[in-house]
Amino acid sequence: MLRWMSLALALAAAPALARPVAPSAFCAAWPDATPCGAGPADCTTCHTAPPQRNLFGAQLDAQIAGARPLTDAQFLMALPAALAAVEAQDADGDGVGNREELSVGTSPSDALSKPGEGKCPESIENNGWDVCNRDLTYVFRKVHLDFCGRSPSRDALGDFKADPSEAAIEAALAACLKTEYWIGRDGAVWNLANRKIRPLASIKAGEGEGDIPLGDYFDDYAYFVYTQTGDRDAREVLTGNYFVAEVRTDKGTVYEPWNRTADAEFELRGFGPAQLVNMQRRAGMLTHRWFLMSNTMFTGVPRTTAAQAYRAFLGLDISRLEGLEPVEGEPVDYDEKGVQEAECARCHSTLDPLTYPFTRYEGIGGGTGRALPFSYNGNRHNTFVAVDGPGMADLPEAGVLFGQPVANLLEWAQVAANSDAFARATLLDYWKLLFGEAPRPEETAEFDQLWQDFKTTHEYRVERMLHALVKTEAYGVP
Amino acid sequence: MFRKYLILMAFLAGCDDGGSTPEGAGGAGGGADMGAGGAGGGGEFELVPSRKARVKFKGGERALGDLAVALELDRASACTELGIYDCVTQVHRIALGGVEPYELRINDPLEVIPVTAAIAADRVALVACGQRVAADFEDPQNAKVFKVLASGDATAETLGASVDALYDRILMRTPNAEEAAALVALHADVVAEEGGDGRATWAKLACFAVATTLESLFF
Repeated sequence: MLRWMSLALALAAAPALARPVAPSAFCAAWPDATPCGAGPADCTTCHTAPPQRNLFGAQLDAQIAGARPLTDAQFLMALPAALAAVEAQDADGDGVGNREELSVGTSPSDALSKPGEGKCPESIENNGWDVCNRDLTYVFRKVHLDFCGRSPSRDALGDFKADPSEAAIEAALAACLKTEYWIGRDGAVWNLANRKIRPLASIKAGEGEGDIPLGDYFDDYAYFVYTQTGDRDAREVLTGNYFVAEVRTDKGTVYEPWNRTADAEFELRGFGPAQLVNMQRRAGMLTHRWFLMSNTMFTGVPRTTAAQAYRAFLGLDISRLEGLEPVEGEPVDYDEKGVQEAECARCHSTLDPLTYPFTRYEGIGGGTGRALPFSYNGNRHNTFVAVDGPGMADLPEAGVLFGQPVANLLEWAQVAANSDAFARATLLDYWKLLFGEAPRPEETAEFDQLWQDFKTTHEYRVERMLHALVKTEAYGVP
Repeated sequence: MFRKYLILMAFLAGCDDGGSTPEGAGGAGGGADMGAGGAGGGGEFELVPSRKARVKFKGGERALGDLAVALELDRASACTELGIYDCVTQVHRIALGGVEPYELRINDPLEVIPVTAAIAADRVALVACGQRVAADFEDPQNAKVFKVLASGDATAETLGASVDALYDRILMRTPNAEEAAALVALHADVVAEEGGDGRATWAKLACFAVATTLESLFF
């Protein structure tokens, strides 16, 4: 973990990497550019993998005078003129100017990506696929493979070809969303939670107990799948105050919510897997035992926990300089870790206020008190005074997320769950699962519409969003 | 011989730039006389490739599941290594796009398909095809895929019927003329190299060739 922290700090300090200020400045100058449709432009607009520049980035860089490394102020001052200079240039030599490519969603750094490429087949029957329009047979097969985990039967395919319809695709999708492949243990949705939970068998409690049982991550998996399925509000992944059991029946896996006090948990399941945060302090998976155990562990200011929450549920990885929203007067450095140093402060002015609401939730231990592990403890910070210094007594529970003050983790979770970042990250999980990659530039508009609809017309129901996703051009045109 | 059928596979898969088979990458429909493997190759029409060029590897579980259904094999025993370990869920799980978060901590499929994926996919197809061929030739009366060939001589008709059956079952379409001819011609190579009537070996390799096409393994 220390290594990752060091890496994050090194990344923050390195002047040669992609600049945190660059995406917003780029979009301020060229707001019509497709990469700006969903907020600040992605680093790949100018870079292959920062600091390496792509063709467009290299052309742009050549227009920015001055000795390297530039300060942010120098860069920001030079950028508009440099963009103006390369606007009509053609970095990839495909005959289309840089700005025109960026405005229509093709890449100015890829000669094979340019507007108006390709033509439509004269005969769909001969061509095999309708590569210019939504191809229903293609979608029908793909829905079966993506959501059922198998191709349609020959009979089903034959019937569909005889009478292709959107209704049949809808029906196939609805049926597939109930299959074990999709919702069962180790199924498609279950596996989406892997990087959020980061399980480890050797310390698992409960079923399949490991050598040092510290928590049962099957609770987390079951909870995640429950919130993503059955027309439920996916925001409850961060805001729910209940737990979920995975129940295997003859008809397949079902997920059943449950609620118990810590005492009832002890009695029923024993200490090993017991969930110990009381109902009034629960914030979905953020306060599950496994999440607190594996992230907070013995830490007074559990920055790793907050960073993982930010990464796993909001799609923002601070170690990659994503989601940096510095808070005035931060970081304070309550635990005397040196985060006010110049090379640290840039990230920690976002990360630390993000972390404060997590500081009242016990991990495995670490303080001088005798608190119940994995539970809420309003006095927890004081138990770390002897460990991390007197400043811990002043450590607040209130923090800041997306520039918005939050009094505690429950408010943190509400702000997070209602954010654009949550909707985008939720959709992106499924998009990558179904497409095998993030949206391409030309798909940005559909992607953005989808996550916005997820927040509004889909009412945060993943299955409604998936029904809409298979209707997109991105999914339906071969 | 291996090199020969690798060449055949490349031909069937039609991997050149604009040249997946007209029905390739999924086989939507009929079209029996199209040039296999060449965009615009037949002169009768110009194949228009997808602008997206996005195909996704089925991965081990979906590929073997589909193949087991196509060949009427029990999925649980369709492919094992050393007769013990399931090819997909155990031995080649990660190479074939799977995850193992609990012990190996591989939470996501590998970002780049490893070179070993092709070898693993080949092995899976070969084992499954081998099982089908062994069962069909052992009991021709109850054969599922190669009934005509297992019950008689290797003729253009019996070989052709087997090719049709393989395409119908695995790719859910009929082969075009060039595809069928290429596979039928493989029989002569098998006989030349192995002697005998070459029926069972050919059946296994023909099945393998179809099951490892781009069209079969990707979607």
